[in-house]
Formats: sequence, C-alpha cells, structure tokens
Amino acid sequence: MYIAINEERIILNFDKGILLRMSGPDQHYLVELREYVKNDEIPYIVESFPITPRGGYVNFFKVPIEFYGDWEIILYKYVPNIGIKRILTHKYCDYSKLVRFNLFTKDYSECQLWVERVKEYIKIHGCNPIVETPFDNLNKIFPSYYNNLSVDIYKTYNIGRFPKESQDYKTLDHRKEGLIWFGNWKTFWSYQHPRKWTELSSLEIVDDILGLS
Amino acid sequence: MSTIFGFYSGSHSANSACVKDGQIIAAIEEERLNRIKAGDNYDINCVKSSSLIQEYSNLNIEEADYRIFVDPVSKKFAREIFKNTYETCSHHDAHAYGAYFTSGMDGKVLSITHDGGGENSHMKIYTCVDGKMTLFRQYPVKSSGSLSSLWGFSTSSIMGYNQYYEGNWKMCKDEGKLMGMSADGEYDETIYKMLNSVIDYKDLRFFPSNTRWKTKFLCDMMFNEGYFSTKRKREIYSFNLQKLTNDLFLRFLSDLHKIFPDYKKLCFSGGLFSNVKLNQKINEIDWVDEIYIMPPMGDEGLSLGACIKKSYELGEWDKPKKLHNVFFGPSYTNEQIYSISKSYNLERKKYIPSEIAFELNEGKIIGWFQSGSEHGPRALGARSILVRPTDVLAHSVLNKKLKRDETMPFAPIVMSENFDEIFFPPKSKYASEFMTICFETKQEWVERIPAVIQKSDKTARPQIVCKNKLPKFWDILNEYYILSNIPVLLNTSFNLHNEPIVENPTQAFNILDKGIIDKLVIEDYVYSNK
Repeated sequence: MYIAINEERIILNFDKGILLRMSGPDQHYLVELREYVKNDEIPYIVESFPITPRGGYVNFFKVPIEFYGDWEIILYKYVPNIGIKRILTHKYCDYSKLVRFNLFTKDYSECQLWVERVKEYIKIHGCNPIVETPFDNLNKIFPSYYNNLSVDIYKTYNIGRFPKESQDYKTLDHRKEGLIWFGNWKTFWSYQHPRKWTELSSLEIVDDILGLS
Repeated sequence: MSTIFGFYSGSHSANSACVKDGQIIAAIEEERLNRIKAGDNYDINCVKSSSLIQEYSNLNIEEADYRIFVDPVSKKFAREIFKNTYETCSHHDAHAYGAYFTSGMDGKVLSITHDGGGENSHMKIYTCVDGKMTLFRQYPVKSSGSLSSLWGFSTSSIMGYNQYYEGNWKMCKDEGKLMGMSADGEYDETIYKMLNSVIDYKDLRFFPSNTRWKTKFLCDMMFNEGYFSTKRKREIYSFNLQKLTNDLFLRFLSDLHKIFPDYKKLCFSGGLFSNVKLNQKINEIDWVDEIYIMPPMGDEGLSLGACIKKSYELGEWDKPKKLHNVFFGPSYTNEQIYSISKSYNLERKKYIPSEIAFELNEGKIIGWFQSGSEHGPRALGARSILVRPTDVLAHSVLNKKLKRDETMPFAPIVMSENFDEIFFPPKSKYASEFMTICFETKQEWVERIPAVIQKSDKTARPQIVCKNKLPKFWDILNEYYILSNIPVLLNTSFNLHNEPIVENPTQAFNILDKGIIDKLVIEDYVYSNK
C-alpha cells in the first residue's frame, strides 16, 4: 500500500510481517506498532524504534509477526519548535482486500475444520480470499482458487504448526524455545503463533492465528 | 517468627535484604560491594550483597524461612542458587509496601509508585487504612506513559554520546544532575510544548505509552539541532522538564484527591521520587498533611520492600513503623578499623566532638564514617563528608577535590530543634530525616549558609538530625552550633566521582590517604595523615 503525505512517501505492507518503508526529507522518523486488544480502547505498544530512511543502520521498520492482530502503525516525525508530530496512523483493515490463506496440514478432517474457520474470518472481515490447501476439493470451495495468484496480496495467513526458525535478536528467553520477547511487556510464542502451538488443539491453532478466539 | 531474605537482580541496582521477626536485619546494594555505580552496570545479580548479608548477620539463606525474589527475576540465577525454593514479589508491590510500612503513617494513606517500568508496570496506587493495603489502580507499561522514562532518556541524551553511542550522562545514575541544573533555567514555552508532545496527563493517566522511545527520539533530534549545545540551553531544557513533571504530577494528585478526599497522607516509592524538587512541590500542596518517600526509593529498595511485604503477610510487621535510621549495611569495630589503618601512614587520636567542630569551623573537610552503611542513595550520617556551610566556594572546592561534576548544591544537615527556624514549610519532617524533599530557605538564612542553598531558587534538601536517633551526628552539629551559632553543616556523600559511596574502612582510608579530606572520624577515633 502506497501513501503520500506532504513530502513523505510511505509503503506499508502487512503481508509477511508488518513492514514500513518510506522516503522523506528528514533523516530520522519514529515508528510505533500498537495493538488494540479486545475490550480495551487504549492500544498496547508492541514495538517501536526510529528509522533513518535516507540511509543508516535501520532504514525500514519491520516486525515479522504473521498472525492476526488489530494492529495500528504510527509514524512520527520531529518538527522543530513543536516536538514529535504524528504524521500517519494506519490500522490493519483487510475489508475488500485480497487475503491469502495457506493451510498446512495433511489431515483432511483438520483441513476441513480450518476451512470452516477461514470462512468465519472472511465473514467477519469481508476480505476477498485466496485459499490454498493440499486438498483440491477444499480449494474449489473458494472461487478465488482460479484467481491469478500474482496479484497484490494485502495479507497472507499461514495456518499450520510452525517451529520457530527466526534468530531475531528479540528472542531473549532461551528457556522456552520459540518464545519471543518484545520490549519487556509483550511476549509471543513465535511470529506465526501467539501461543505455544504444541499445546493447542486444531481449532485453537487456526483461531489463534486468525484472531478468532 | 520468621527469617526472610529478599533479592533483586533487575536490569540495574541489584540488592539484597533480610528481615527477621519483623525487624530489618540488613539491606545493601550490590554497587557498594562491586564498586561499580548501578547506572554503569546493567544485568548484574545480587551475588555479593546476598553473601555479605549472610556473613555479617550470621543467618543462612538456605535455612531462612522465606526467600523472595522481586520481579523481574533472574531465573537462571535464582535456580542456580536456590534450586527453585523461592517465592516472587511484584516489583511495584515491593515499592508500595516498602514505602507504606516504613512511613509510620496512621489513618488513611495513599501509597503511590512510579518508575520507568518494572514488571510490566509504570505505576501503582494503593489505598491504605490502618495497616491494610488495597490496590486501586495499576498502570501497565504497554498502555501508559512514564515521567521517569522522560527523565531517564533526557539524562542519557543531554550531554551527547561517546564513541559507543552511550550517553555521556547515564540513565538511572545522573538524573540528579539534570534536576540540579533545572533551578538555574527559565520557562520556555517552545521547549515545554516539545516535551509535552512526548507525554501528557488526563483522567488519572499519563499518556501516550512508549515514553522511552519517544523521549529518546525527541532528545536525539534536539541534540542534533543544538538545543543542548551550551550550559545555558541545558539549564533551560531541564527547567522545563522539571516544570512539566511537576505540572503533570500535581494535576494527577489533584484528580486523585477528588476521588479520595480523606486521604491526605501520601507515601511514595519508585525512581521518580528521587526527584527532590517534585517532592517539594507535592509537600507544598495545601491539602497534603504529610508525605513520605521510602529512603531507598529506587530499585535499590526492592529487596527490602519484598521482605517487608512478606513479613506483613505473616503478621510479623503489622502496621506502618518509623525507621530509626537506614544504616542497614555492615559496621566495623574500633579494633577492626585500627588493624586496617596500620597499612597507612596515619595518626590516630580519640574523637572529641568539640575539636572536630573547631576544625569544621576552620574550613576543614571531615570524613565521617559511623555504624552500618546507609541503604539507599543518600549519605545520611554513616558515610558522609562534612564541611562548614558558610563558605560560598565550598561547592566548587569540593567538586574539584572529589573530582565530581555535581550540579545540585550539597545538602545541609540541621538539628531537628532548629528546622522551623530555617526551612519552610514545617511538615513532612520524618521524610526529611532521609533527605528526600527540598524546602524553601527562609530569607534570613540564605546568606548565612550559602554552601547548601541553591542560589537561584533558595531551596535546600535538608536532613533533619534528631538527638534520639543519631546522637553522635547530632552532637557534632551541636558543637558546631556552639562555635558558630549555625545549627547546620554541609553533608555530602563519602565518595569520589563516579564511585559508589564508600562501604568499608579501607575505601575511606584511601580517600584520606590521597589528601582529599583533612581528617577522618571513624567510629570513636579521628585519623589524619602524618
């Protein structure tokens, strides 16, 4: 998604993780990722750091979380004599957008269950789905199967059991493989799973990843 | 009756404490033993402090009834040492219980904590009635702002960075210097608003969250734009930082008062309340009857707070008590000290208060080492340096001798009998026994004790010395009073630049040996270089 604000040109992408790239006249900008959690109108800070889009050590903002969240991304710039000014607030919203669901299971009945939950997600969010499973008859349930898959995808959900592979520096808690620690107050089991997937049922796995629980 | 050991091994300020049968046996910070100031040393465990407490209290951690770790717990350390036979205590509970149960306050009290983030919270508010505490509200890091973070990141940015991109001033260590500068600044609407763009207050909540990154971002940009390029500019920044802190926190207290109009006694803990100028403003609020700040108000007081909480839960610490002093570290006998002194070329003679008072009146710098070391950041008469308060140049002379860059004026100690004569307002005197609040100085005294008064705003952060609590300290004050007609002395911590306060006689003798102090009063003897 491309957004232009004054001289700032911003590219936002939620597809595989949450990514903000930009160009602009300033050397530094501050990016914040927040999450609205059910029943709380105050969003929770998840991650934040400054970026230097005109070159520098960190020239883009990326948080590789792949599961659903009611995310909000905020971009700030420094304005002399004013302070920190918010120049962009964008909430994750896949209404009417192309959302891809990849279902990774060889168990047909589990896949059937997951398909039902994907349908539920589509009903709630109103997105246009592209669904791919290992089972052709299930794929054909969704008209999207015949779509051209090279179109611009707003978000991809990989639904399955994924051991954590990332070596991200924020993985601090070595006692529990896969537990990712964010800034002292937020932990995720892995970028794909909000909770420890080995302890979840089939239904819980899909609901966790799609935020349906 | 029980023996309780408390431990804290957080990101800074590791410490250990022991409470037995509802009495404080010992409490000490790791920095006093490893000789690295807390702000310079992150992620340390309370190895030395826990072992020292065992040594001098003759109590064994493994045989103790309870071992309490304050969150965040270094689980690896806890597991290795105690094989998981420990309990945990919430970070802000340790702050809040420590403050309330050492406040001596009866009736209705609010216990409020605020810091840069501990165990997922910035702040907690407890209502306390006659020894019972009830949590009113908790402010998670993820959704609330922090005034402490505003100070921490301002401190680490304002003097620029070294080659490793570390602040030349350190967070959790140099905030006091920033506060000291603030008195000499002036209101600047633009800077005030710029700071206000990072944090604001409404409806009992500081917002938005993420104060730490926003402050760092703002300060880095301001640094690049030259907002901190001169001493004057830094003073103006710090003035506005202090003003915003005072304004927001006082608005918060005012709103809290509307909810709890009968709660007029307030006790505080957490890093924010090391800010004696904020404490002064709180103390000056009309509806406030009394305030108290836990003497080890930062994370250095957490292990003690956790022990007190457990002791309360066991019914052994049943109500808020007043502390006699905070000399909870190890002490040394005259014989031990004499034996150590033999490695130096020193003269020793019996301590006679009137003789030392005479030396002080002559402008000499006297090291003062008595009893167990103080718990917390202030030198309160166990590890102090004393100087006459009349010398306007004392600040620069001491800074030069001790190789310090303190911006705060040094603190006065004052006889309790004379406090009202010199300082204003006459309330929260118990808190002032621990040097935790600034007071206004009455005009007639400003010129008489210039070395301990902040010139620009005529404030001081006195320590009240009571004869029944600190008799030896009171005596030296009294002798000086007889000589000079001034019941005040300058008291600064017994340490060199960038070093923790001295802990043992060897460290004190080293300073004497270098000629930095003229004489050293250590227990019952006076030592000087031959």
